Amino acid sequence: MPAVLRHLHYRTDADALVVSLDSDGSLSHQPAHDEPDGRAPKCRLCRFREMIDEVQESLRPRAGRGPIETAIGLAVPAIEAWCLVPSEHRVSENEWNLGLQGGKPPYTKEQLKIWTYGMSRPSLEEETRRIVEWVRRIVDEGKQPQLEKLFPSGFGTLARDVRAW
Amino acid sequence: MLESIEFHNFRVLRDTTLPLGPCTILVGANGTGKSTVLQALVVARDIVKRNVAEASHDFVSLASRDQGNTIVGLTLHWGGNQHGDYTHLNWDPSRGHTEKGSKSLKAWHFKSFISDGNEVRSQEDFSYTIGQIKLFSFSAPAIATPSHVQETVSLGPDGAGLATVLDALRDDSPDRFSAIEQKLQNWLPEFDRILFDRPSQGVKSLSLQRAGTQQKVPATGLSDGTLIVLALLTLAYLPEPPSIVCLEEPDRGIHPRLLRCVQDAIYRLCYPKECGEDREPVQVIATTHSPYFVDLFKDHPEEIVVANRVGDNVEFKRVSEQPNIQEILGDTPLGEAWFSGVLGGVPTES
Repeated sequence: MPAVLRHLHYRTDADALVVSLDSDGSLSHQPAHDEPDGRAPKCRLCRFREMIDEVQESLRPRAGRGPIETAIGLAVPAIEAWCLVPSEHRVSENEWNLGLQGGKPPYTKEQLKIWTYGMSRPSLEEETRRIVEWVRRIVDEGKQPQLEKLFPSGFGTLARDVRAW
Repeated sequence: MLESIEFHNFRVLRDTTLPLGPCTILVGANGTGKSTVLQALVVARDIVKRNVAEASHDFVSLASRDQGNTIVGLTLHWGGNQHGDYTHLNWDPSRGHTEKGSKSLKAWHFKSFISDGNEVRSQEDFSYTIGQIKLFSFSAPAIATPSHVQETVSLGPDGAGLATVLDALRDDSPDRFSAIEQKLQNWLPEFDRILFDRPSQGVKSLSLQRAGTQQKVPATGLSDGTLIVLALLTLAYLPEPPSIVCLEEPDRGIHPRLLRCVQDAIYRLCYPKECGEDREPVQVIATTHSPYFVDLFKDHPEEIVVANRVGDNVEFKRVSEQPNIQEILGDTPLGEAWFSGVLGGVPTES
């Protein structure tokens, strides 16, 4: 990622970089992590932000342009959780965190894939097709607020980053 | 489906068991028997088919070098409906001869047993499955070479005959042929059609058309990676693929960004129903040295088996069965973890 950010800065006229991360079982991002000095080393999103800050600080200014804006989201445990909104599945950050606190995740990444794609091992084309369809549906039906409500730390953080540009 | 294979004095595999699933990716240092596993299955096939004439190996050379007259054996443990059944193949040098060919084959025996140890009377089911085993080690020059039209159309172990296989698919299974062309466009967008030529009587060659143009690129002018991708894609779309497919480094020559396509092709073979295919699953056993390819199996660590040298033997272990594996991996890419050595399967230092 540092190389991607440097590439965008020096070689392109990109204004912004949006990244969504799978948590891979790590903690979900918490509002307290957004407080000054609140970053948590075990939070993947916080670690990512730390890395982006370090890279940004090392870059020479671009002529006539400010630094590249960034927005980062952290999907717990994977982006397919977001793709199930809206649906009948009880998938949310709250469900996930409660499950983790109880010692048993409420669903697995494999289950999320089956619910999203109808199979546990979708091809790259199938993944791309379904996710593009989902994004269009979320935008067309104005479901972003629902997504932010269900995933306040993961998707909400990304949305707030974008609004702050 | 094979659940596991036991090896006894089979080259470097002195006394070890390889666990298998629908899809198994073998990783390990050079000389840890990954290719030997694939060759062993081919040996099993040739013994069962009594196929000495076509056998590319010297049966005698398969024994561990310093084992003298020790019996060499393979035991194939079956799963699914045949759970508990096993097929035992052994080579008893005291009954064999030392030269290649039918004489040394006579020293090989195979029998199948059901779980209570009683011998199976009819070996047909087992023979049929074993007899279908195919090993592919794709070679770009072989794939590119024009192929002779024959009565039996099949993809050779090195990919030879691809032109005739694709030509037959175009005639007999146009839906499959067009699905291959569609996938080819997704994977290699610079091409959009597969074309055929007849450079001489009874010979077929293939070429790809550059997308949006009429320009034909003959197979001999295509990159190694393109040819190997096309061969893998064709294998994945065969209407009746072999029951067990062994793939020697299917990632060879392929750009890391295209490795996901290789994985998709393998999964299409292993999990046909998920892809809308109405056929039996193919069991795939593949080897790789690519950390990028291993990365793709992060969600299925049970599909990665690591080969490790232990003394003069080799041990196989699924990544998912390694202690505290999830805690050790964290968010480290699986291939990176393997490369670092924490999963084993790396060359040892002198």
